Amino acid sequence: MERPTLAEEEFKQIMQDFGPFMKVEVQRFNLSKYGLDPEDILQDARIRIWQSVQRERTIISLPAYIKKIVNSAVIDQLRKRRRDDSLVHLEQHRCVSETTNGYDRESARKKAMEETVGRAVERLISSRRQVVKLYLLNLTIQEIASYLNWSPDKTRNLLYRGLADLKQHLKDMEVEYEQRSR
Amino acid sequence: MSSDLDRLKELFQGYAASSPCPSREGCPSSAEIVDSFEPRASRRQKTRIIEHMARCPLCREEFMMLVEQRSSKTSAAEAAAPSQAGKCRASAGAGLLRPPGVFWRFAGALLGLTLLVWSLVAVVHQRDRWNVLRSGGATIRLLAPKSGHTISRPPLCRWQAKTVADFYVLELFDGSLLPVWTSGPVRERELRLPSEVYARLIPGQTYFWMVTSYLEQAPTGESQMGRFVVSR
Repeated sequence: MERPTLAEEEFKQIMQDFGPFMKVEVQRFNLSKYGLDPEDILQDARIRIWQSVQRERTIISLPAYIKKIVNSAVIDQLRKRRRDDSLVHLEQHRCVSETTNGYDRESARKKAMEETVGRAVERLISSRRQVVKLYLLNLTIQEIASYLNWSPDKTRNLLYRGLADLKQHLKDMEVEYEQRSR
Repeated sequence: MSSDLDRLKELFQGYAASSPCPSREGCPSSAEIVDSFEPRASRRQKTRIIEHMARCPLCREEFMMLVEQRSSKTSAAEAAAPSQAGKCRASAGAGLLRPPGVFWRFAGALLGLTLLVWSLVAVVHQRDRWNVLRSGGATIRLLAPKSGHTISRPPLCRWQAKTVADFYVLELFDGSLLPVWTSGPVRERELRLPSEVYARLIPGQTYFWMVTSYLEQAPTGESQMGRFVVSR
């Protein structure tokens, strides 16, 4: 019987030590929402770790590295899943395009308004623009502060200033974006 | 006001959804998106990801997935992570788990220490200069109520300014940063919150306030945001 190589032993050791950790990391994602199979992700992550072991890369913090590998594997699986689905979606989209009306005044007006707001956001100065964009995409102040590695106070300050600028830009553009209550 | 922000969110999200990437050629790799969440990731890296995902629904979904994952309260992952030191000892000498050599560890620590000392010296050296710059600029320091304090009656808001100003304007915001009240021009460096404004504040809620200085109608400086909680 053939003896396991050094790399194989090392890989086994990692899997033994970090297997449960990897599972917990994968479970922290709401995978069912995206139709992803946790086992596919774990398998992908195992392959990446095996490749790293074979390349004899030196990693300072193994838990952080494994966490990164799992996160990347989740995103890559999502991308793969989308690629698989894309042909079906493309066909559906074509059918829908053929059956819907060409022009709808209300949706055209809304689209123009969205474009205007988007342009106004792009006009903000960089630091405020980042915060405002993340906020308008539904991130909380805590999540924005954590991502940008800023204090909540600084984030709040920039957000407040950014939103004030945005409203001023819209006012300058004479845009009435608020919906009137009936 | 809240519906005002909701409307902006709705419109911006509509704008963001309006131009899906035709292909994924220009999209950052999964590793780039994951790396941008690291505290040590550069500002440029984070900016690139934000700018891209704000216009690319596919990358935005992936970004949000990571945000959700990080926000999840599960701490089991940390608990399940074995200690790094133990693992290094377990298979020292082999590829991935090989600990860095003692010499390099020592050199790294020494370098870190040197940088730390150098930074401290630089900070101390620059402090006076910063103070001079600040005094000529726009620093306003909020004195009372102290940030985080609980108040049970209309507070006397006081601040200290290192710059010349014709007047100040105090602004009050609720927990969502929506404006609640804005004072008129204030000549003094203090202002008691009017009782009719105080009566509108909701007990148990946090409120934020800040002061802006004006000279000849132009804003010359502003404070950080102060915070207090109302209790009655």
